[in-house]
Amino acid sequence: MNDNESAGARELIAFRIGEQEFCVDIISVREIRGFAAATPLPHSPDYVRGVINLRGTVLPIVDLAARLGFGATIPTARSVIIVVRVNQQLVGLLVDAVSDILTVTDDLLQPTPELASELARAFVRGVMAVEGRMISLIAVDNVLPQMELAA
Amino acid sequence: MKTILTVDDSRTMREMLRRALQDSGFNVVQAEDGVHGIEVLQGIDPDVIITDVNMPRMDGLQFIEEVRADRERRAIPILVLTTESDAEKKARARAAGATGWIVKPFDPVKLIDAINRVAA
Amino acid sequence: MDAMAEIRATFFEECAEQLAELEAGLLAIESGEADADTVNAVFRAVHSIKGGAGAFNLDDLVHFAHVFETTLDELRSNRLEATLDVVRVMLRAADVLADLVTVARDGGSVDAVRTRGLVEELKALVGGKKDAPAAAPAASDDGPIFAPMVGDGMDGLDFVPVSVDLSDMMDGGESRYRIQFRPRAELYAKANESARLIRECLALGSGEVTCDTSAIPLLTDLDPEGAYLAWTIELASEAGEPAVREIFEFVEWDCDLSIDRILDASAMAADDGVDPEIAALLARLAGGADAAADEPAADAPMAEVVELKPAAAAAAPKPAPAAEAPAPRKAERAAAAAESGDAKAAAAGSAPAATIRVDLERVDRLIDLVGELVIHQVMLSQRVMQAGLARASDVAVGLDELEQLTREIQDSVMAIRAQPVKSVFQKLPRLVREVADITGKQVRLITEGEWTEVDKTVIERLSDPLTHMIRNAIDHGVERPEKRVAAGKGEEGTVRVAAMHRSGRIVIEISDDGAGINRQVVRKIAVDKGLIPADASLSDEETDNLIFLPGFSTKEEVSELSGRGVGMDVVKRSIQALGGRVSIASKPGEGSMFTMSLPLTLAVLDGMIVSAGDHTLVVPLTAIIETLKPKPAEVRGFGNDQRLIEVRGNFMPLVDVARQLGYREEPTDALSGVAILVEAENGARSALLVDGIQGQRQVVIKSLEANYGRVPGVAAATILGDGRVALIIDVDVVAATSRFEQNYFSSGLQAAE
Repeated sequence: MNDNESAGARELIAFRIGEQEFCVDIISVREIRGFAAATPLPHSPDYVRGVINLRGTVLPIVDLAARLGFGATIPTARSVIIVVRVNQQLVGLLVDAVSDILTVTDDLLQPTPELASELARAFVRGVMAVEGRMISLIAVDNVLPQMELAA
Repeated sequence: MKTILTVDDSRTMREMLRRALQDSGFNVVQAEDGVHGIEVLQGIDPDVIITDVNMPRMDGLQFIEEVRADRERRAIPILVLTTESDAEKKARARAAGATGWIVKPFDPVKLIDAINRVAA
Repeated sequence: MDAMAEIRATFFEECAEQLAELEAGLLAIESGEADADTVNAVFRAVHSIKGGAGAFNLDDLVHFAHVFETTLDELRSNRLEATLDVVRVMLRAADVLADLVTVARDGGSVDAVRTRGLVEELKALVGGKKDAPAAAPAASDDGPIFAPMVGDGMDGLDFVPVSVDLSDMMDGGESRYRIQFRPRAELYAKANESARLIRECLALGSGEVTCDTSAIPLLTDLDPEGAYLAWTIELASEAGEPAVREIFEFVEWDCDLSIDRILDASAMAADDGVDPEIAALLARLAGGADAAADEPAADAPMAEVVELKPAAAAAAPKPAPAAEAPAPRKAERAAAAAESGDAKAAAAGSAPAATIRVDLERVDRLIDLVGELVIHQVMLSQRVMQAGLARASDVAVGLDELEQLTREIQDSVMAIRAQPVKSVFQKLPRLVREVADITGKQVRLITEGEWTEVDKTVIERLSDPLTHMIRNAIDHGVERPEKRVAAGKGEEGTVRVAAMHRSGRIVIEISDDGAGINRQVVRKIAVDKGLIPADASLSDEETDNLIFLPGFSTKEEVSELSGRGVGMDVVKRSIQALGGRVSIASKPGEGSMFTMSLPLTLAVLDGMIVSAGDHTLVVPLTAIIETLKPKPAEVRGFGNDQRLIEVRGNFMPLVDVARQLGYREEPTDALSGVAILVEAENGARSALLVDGIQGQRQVVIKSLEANYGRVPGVAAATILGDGRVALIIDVDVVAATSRFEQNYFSSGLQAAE
């Protein structure tokens, strides 16, 4: 599909949370949709916004800003939900706006700086400098609460 | 391409036959028992028929007799599948008009040999 | 999955079907309802398992199936009478066979002693008959597949096709054979052809063929289906005699055949009296003649033969040159490989099929989509109404029709998943046999309504509770034979399992003719365990239903079964998790009847749509007893933060749903809300306080766990007409959290997966 793929290149979807830029690997992204009010789930962490109807599938929405410890997102018209596949599950990530689609090579990725908060580091796989911006690569694996606890 | 009609109530056996026969370049048509076999024969003219003996509704022996009684179909070679080299069963199959037999579990090479021996 | 693994999977699927057939057949024989077809079907089931097992080299299975089959053959041929004892041995043999299949599939080991014991028992059944071929099971020890039947007088003739290493048979050199072959009409009648046989002979080496036409009668006397030619083949080949004989394997009874090894080459001489022209023609068979060999020669002697053509097989062979035969075959193979896709299509297309096998995922996808369709149809209707279109307008009428169609599609799609409960009922006879064995009781099982259909998801989850209830019925219901006799009953107890449809649900009754529930004992246990106050006044029915309380167990005697730690409370819990109910009715001395009723599907649910704290929720209708408007006098404070509601003299907790689910901090005003009286899994009642009721509706159950996980207090989700997700309340958990049974967590409803 992509000529660069063999050269260790990957495509990323970049988005904004507040003033910061983050990105996820496009391979895990299923679709991007506008924000819709979610049905809250009782007894769920504050970063779980609730669930929405994604063409018949019940999709949990994680407020990524809240998940990263930046406080709850106040949805605007530009807010979007990035639907990603994590293992066998689909999760919607609520972010402020999608900013870019990037093609980068793996060598651009640097380790997450020590000064980042503990919480942020748990979800950031690394950072990269692109055209003078710093973009953090989100590891989507851990965004949902660990459900074993519920059993 | 030669067409083989397989008549067997066991899905497992039908599948094994299909695989072995298709691998050797035969076209395979399947039937689930004698009655079904007779129905299928209305629509096709196989080069060889392979039939099980023990089947519901119509067993292999009766099936062979029906084929042999049909002027249009009587010249089709029919191989009978037997589970063991049971002389009595073979004798009954012969009496019914079987052309030959294949012993289960069959060796695919022997299966193809047997077909080539009877196929025109 | 590779092809072999696929066939293997098919084999085990088929085994399961055949084992079921086997057991059903044996049970029919046991109850005297069998006919010849039943016995044949039973035989065929074992025979088929043996056949498939042989293909996969499952030797243990083959061996046991062979012994079993041999005994069944005795039954089939009326050499063995189907007495009760005989059938019971066979039923146990069927169980062993099932175990062997399981082990063959999943690994592990079987109870070797039990297996051997049954082999002996089966053999003994055959051995008892002196006129039967008693050697058959013994022969199976040598090799079940190729074991020739002993004593049928055909041993000398029968060719046992074992692979032979030809190098052992030969001294490396070429042998000469004289094959004299005179087909009889039967040979042709069975679609064998002499030309092909001769060709095969010549393919083994080189040689000459001569034909004896002396037996051909005058045309007027000629039977078109007769056989008049005899052939002599002088063959020089490196192949051994068995290889030559094998060519005639299929026809040796339908011809006069002699195969002689000739040591002296000078013996290779043509017989006298053979027409030289035919001899010349036939010689071309060996000499690599071209297609002209297919054309009959126009010479006089052949002309007679040509006229036989309608009965072609009899006398007009169409031999192809032996040397060229393999070549076209190869070409065909290559062509076939290219067309293998077509071949499959042809194979599939020509078999008329009454049923198709569909991947369940596809059906589920369809069900999901239809669920979507229903939601969108409802949304569309609501929007049209909101837009103020008249009910009689074309659009509204069209929408009504759409709704009708949508519902029909939904019903039809749900019906695809519906299956008869037979698959669950099939497992019961074995269960009953085993439990009866362990408990030392005699039990007859009667099943009714096995064709009653219910959704696949329900079927899958029906088995466990049913198993427990039957175990319970035998363990605690049916008395020991001596007790039964003392009570004036027959030694054998009866357990009856019946399935039926009743008002849109499936009802399964499990009844026994045992002792019934001892109410004094039950009551005493409940009091002793603190489940009820000592002075509680309970009706007989209420007393009987105490056995479903958590913590209740009537383990008067610890049997192997009750040691499993499964109480009736767990049974009730699992049934309620399916949206079902269970109850018991009992008559002392006459027996008990458990009745469980379940929804026909787990994909939809009848729900009451309610509002609580700005949110819309669904309460499963099955849990609801009634709804009421609380009056000031009925609501009382309790403890520091609880409320009770009085309903006809009974106090029960009033559960503030909005608070419970965290939608609201402050208490809901009880007087402006609605109390929904619900019954939890343990029979305890409570009232759910909600803000209001919107209506009743069938909703499509959606899993929360697929993409998220379990949420306490929420059984599942659904999608409402406005496209939004609404949560389905897990009544048991929501009600229980305000009670003392805090540790009680419901497994919740699950959407059809």
